[in-house]
Amino acid sequence: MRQWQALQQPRLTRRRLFFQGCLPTTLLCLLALTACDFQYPRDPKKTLETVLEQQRIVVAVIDHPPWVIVPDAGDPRGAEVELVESFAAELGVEIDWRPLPSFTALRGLSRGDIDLVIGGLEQPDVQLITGAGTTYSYFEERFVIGVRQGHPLPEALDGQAVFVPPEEPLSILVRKQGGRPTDQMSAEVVLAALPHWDLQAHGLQRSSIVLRRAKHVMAIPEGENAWLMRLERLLRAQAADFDLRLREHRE
Amino acid sequence: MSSYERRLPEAQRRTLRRAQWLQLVWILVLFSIIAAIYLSAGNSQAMKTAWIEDALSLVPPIAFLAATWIEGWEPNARFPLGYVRVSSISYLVSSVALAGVAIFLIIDSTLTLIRTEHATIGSVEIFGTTLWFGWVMIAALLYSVIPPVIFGRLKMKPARELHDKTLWADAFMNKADWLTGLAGIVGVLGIGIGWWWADAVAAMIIAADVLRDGFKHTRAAIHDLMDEMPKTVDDSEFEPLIDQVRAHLNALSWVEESRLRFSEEGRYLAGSIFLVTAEGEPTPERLEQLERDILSLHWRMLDVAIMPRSKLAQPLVGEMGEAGLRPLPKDRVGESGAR
Repeated sequence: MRQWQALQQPRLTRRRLFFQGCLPTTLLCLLALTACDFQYPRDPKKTLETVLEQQRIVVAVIDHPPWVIVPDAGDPRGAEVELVESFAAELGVEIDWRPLPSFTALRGLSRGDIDLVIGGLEQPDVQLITGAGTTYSYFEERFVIGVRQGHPLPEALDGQAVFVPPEEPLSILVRKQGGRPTDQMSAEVVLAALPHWDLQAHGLQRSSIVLRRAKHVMAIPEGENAWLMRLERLLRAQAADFDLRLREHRE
Repeated sequence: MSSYERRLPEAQRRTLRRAQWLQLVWILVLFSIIAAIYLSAGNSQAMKTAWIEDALSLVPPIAFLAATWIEGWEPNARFPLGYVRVSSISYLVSSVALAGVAIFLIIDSTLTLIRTEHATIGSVEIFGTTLWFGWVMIAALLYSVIPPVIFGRLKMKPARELHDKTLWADAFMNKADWLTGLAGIVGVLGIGIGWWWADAVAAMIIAADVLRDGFKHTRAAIHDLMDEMPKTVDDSEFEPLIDQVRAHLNALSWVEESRLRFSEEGRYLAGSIFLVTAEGEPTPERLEQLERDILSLHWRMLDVAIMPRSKLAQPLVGEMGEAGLRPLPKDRVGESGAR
């Protein structure tokens, strides 16, 4: 029994030495590396460095008015396009616009040379794609029930008709709230399901009924943290009045 | 007399109450750690691993509280031996949980490496300044490192006093927690340098350490339930109390030969003593006296059955010291013998 004990002891000690010695040493080395390096965090694939070196960002644009409007000829317009333009100006680089379908654009982040994808993207959609990372959600869009001026604000929908515009598929959510979705905006329909920033333009007031919240992000290659930090700094500085930009670009 | 009516002595009962309070406070602290790590985990594999490990650390204290509560229930017609063995079960539950999750974590971080997933960690705005979120993660990990070390130390003493293996395993897990936190910090710093793999490797090291503990404790818990010779609480040697009993028997002039068969019943010991005695001995009074004497050797002595014999059967194995991890020889399978 003593022998058994003697066998156990050295193994324990060796393991302890490994952990108590190696881990703190690694930690110190990493801290030292961090301290003598001004660029922190850094990109595993050097996106930021490459962009600055080549004086060019490749931006995939997905047509999604008013976030991104891709015309048949010429450069894209839109609320997000403006943000990217000021980002490029800040970095002092040219923009290479690439109009692409959404899945092709997002997959291109890991397969191709795309540095940034915009087009009214929402966080969960981007997170599904391998190789794609997201910025923080710089704008929360709320799909709400709007009410015509002069009508009382409803607490619940109670079977009332709600106009659902064809470009925003929300009819199931309206039904879940007890409403009756319709695609005809007639005189007797006083309610409409719309994003919160678009109510004013339709002359509607906002009720307290929220159908859905959409967290808007831009997409970057996964893990490119220096690149992400630069982009997020700009978003934090410029995305505050984002609903104004959306209203400017609505058709 | 039914020995199962014996309860913990006053001093141990007080220690037990203290240990229960300690675990209760620890559970609350642990919840705050779990919340802090959860809120800052983001996309880091090592943080996720540390979080699961912390959430898992809830199992032993909860198992301890449940077991010490059930242990106090009265024996009844359905469970005539009482509920003292419940602490052996809680020990097994805690250690299997530990090992199982470690395996899950190793698989999870291996997949991260195979798929070459890069952790995306962005910025956060705190009081108007934009910070890398990695720093927040590191702060949370630092917070998760300090309390377990303190609580781990506090739990060692009651665990020894109460001979409580669940509490002992828990104390050790807590003391090892600082390594987990540190490995997590290394992982996050690694991501910052652009070593996307650092995080998953750190997670694997954490998981390997957890697996080691889980495996060690699962083995010890299974051994207990297999009626292994009682061991000390740290599982390092056989219980010296057995030798005391043997010495006590050897000192008696009317006992010619004796053989002991003891096993652990939760925190207690119970077993049988086979005796070959001198001519005309023993009288029932003498046996009762002997039983009382042995039970009063230590509070852990829960129950002994003393059986006088004309001669002792040859035991299957030699006395203590036999490892016993071999199959029985064919001609002896099915034979029973006293240890």
